[in-house]
Amino acid sequence: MICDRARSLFGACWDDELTQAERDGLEGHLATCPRCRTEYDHFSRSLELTAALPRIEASADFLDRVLVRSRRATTAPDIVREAGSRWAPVAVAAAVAVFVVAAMFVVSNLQWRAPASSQAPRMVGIEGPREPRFAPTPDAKPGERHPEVGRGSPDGLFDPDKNVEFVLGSAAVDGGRVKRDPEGQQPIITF
Amino acid sequence: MDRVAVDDQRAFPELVRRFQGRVTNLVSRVLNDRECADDLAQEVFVRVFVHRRNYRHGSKFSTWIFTIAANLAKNEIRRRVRRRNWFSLDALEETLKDRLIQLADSTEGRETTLEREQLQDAVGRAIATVPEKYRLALVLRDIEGLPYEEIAEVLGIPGGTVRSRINRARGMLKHKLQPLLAKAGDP
Repeated sequence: MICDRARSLFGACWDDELTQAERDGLEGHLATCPRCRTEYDHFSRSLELTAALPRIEASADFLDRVLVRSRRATTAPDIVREAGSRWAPVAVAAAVAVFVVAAMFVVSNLQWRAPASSQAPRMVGIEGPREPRFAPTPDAKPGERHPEVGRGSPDGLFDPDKNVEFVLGSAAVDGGRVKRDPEGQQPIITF
Repeated sequence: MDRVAVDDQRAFPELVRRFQGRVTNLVSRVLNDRECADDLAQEVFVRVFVHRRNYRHGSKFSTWIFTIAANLAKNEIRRRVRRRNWFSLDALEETLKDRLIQLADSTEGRETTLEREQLQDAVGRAIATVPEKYRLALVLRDIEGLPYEEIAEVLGIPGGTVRSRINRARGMLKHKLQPLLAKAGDP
């Protein structure tokens, strides 16, 4: 066994973890190598001194002091809990205030959007004379309706006997007759 | 510990009595400072009490309390290094050398109480000069006598690393005590 290998086994030898073969090899080497023998003696002596250090005992009042400190340490969470209960009404009030502000914001937002929805196209019926939609055919008799007039689709939304007006949000009109609604805010197209 | 966890009034003092010696010794040997060690050992038990419901019943109680003690000791060592109000390692080395020279000069074969105390003091100081991570493993193994597996659990490192650290710590300790050991070995 070489010296490096022998010295790497010192720890395991001290812990009594060597196999019998390793122990025999180490002991054989130490018997023939004075340097490794000295090294092992120093190694084992230093660990003997360490293991032989006297036990340091706790102070006489150790238990009493631990108990006092433990009581202080356990009262701390109680203090936190009391503080929490004292602030609980404030927290609830703050939560209510936040809720009210949020509700007001939502309501005001809805009111702000309401005029926009009124600008969507809506259909209204108007009374009074209406303009003929189709030019009369050459053979039409006076007072006779154009054949297409009044032929609404079966599921039509419009009453063919009434004028229909579309109230638009903008005045982009391509055809038809444009006029202002009675309030003068929205263009009305009559067909 | 189960009784402590359910707030049995008599259980905690009993637990402290049972472990106060081992915890105080461990912390004292790691810090080499008796006064501070007593205070820190008390803190270990306070932590045990505060966190008594967090104790995992599958593990050994000694492993748990040594883990707390080792962590507090590590924190204390690092705090001292940061604050630099403790004597430096170099100063400690010098003190150790002086002490070893005094011991070497004493009359051979007459190991008085004073000499023995000086020897123990020198060994304690030598341990204190071993770097923290090696020192903890060394103290747990060679002073407290914990098995490698438990040391691995206490320090939260693999078993192989524990063995490596302990081997290195033993080598460092031997090197630091070499002057004393060499003189003692002379005929």
